[in-house]
Amino acid sequence: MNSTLTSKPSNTAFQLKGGIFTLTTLELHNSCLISFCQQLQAMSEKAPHFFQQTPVVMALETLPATVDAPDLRAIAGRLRESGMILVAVRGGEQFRYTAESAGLAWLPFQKTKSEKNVVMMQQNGQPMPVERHELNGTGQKEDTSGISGSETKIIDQPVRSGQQIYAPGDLVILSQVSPGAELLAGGHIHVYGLLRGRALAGVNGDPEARIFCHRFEAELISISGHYKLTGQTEESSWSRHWGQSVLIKLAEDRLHISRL
Amino acid sequence: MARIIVVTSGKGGVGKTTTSASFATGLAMKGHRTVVIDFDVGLRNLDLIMGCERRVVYDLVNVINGEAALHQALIKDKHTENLSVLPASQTRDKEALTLEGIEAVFDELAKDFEYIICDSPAGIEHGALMALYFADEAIITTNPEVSSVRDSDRILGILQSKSRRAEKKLDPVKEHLLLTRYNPTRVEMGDMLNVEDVQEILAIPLLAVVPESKDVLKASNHGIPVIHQQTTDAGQAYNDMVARFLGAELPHRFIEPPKKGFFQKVFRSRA
Repeated sequence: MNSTLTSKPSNTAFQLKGGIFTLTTLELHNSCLISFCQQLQAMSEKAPHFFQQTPVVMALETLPATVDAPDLRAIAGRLRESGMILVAVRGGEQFRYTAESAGLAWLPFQKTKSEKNVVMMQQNGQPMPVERHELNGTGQKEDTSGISGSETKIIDQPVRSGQQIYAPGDLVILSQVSPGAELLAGGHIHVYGLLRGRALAGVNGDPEARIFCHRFEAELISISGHYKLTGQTEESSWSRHWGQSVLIKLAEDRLHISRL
Repeated sequence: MARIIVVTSGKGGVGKTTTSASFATGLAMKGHRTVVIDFDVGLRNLDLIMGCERRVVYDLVNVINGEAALHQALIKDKHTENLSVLPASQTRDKEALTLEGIEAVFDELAKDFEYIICDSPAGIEHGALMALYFADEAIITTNPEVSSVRDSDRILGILQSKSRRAEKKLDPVKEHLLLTRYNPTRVEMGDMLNVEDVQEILAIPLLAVVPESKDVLKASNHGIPVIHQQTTDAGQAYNDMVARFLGAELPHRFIEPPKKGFFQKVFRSRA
């Protein structure tokens, strides 16, 4: 989802927008520059044209806790020679200042769905996402099972007023959601009890996210930033489905409530 | 092992202290060694309801701070055997309560008492959190009106997330709904939520319904918990509550037969 922070693009020099990009992540396992260069060189020899102006985020949360700070400037320089542009480092709060002084952005560590399982590798000279290989290992494939499903959060207790539940993926509530409670999910929301609180699906901008609920008495529903409040919606669709089992989806920038 | 029971609500004025006094008295009358603790530091009321305000020398904060021994602060109830009161301080504020201090007091009380009843202050701030943190069970005191129900819902969320049992991932705090100041006539008129409405929103088992009664105010002003007056509806309701808490199966009283609910009335017009 792109969210506009400034208005009237015609009168302004620029416009700030949020965007989501897929970046290659380089997980650093130790801070030894020599072994890093050796591995990088070996990789470059195998696939000389694979990385061309490729932005890279270096993950530092994979480093052992007691390790010395890696020489980020030197690493950035070596990566550059191989065609990779180090734009940011991720994780390793203790290296935040090191990153700043090397002119790099710092990102907090968040577990995401795909990065554990997919790595960019060369195939016929073209970058393609393929199954993960250990870059420093024997070339044996790693187990890549379990891409989906792991991100679904299941709550089997009532969600009470004032509680907020966030799931990066899908969110399944087996009990009721009280007024004043808030559900946030990157994916779909399923409520198998009474939904009286707020439900916001697709909060990271997924317009395909949907809300399913067994009994619909919600205060607010939202999909990908498009929302409806209980009082302000036009008389018909909200009240016609009050107390019913419904599906809510986004179509043509409007929320549609339909009976399940 | 002593059971720690918090009487809480979120909202003020719903009858927490009245309930704490009668519930503790009821347990003691059934022969259980019981202590009731006032956690409303700075606004102490329990001693008034229990009729022991003139005998308060030391209080909970003194014990926590080591300024008095526990037995010096405990007041033996005049009316009931097996019952003691641990009053709150009137001159301190709730910040004087610490988890370590309270735990030490509870550990010592657990040697002598079967039930430790905590009368929580209103709100969801420090004092209320201190009162509910160690609870094994909670009496959620609720009036049949929307704001009280909402606040009770909030407190239930806090019990599930911030109590010791939640933090240590033990069995969750056992929750009981106590509906107080229930007026069947006004429920019938649609002014108040009925029992089913409240139960549907809070989704916890109903322990008892205590009817709105002039006797409660009278009893409070006389410093005698209303459960002592077994001729009154409120006294009998609290008696039923204690019996049910201890495992008896009694039919619920003081509820008119179910009528059309508040929500159905309000939302029928939307359809």
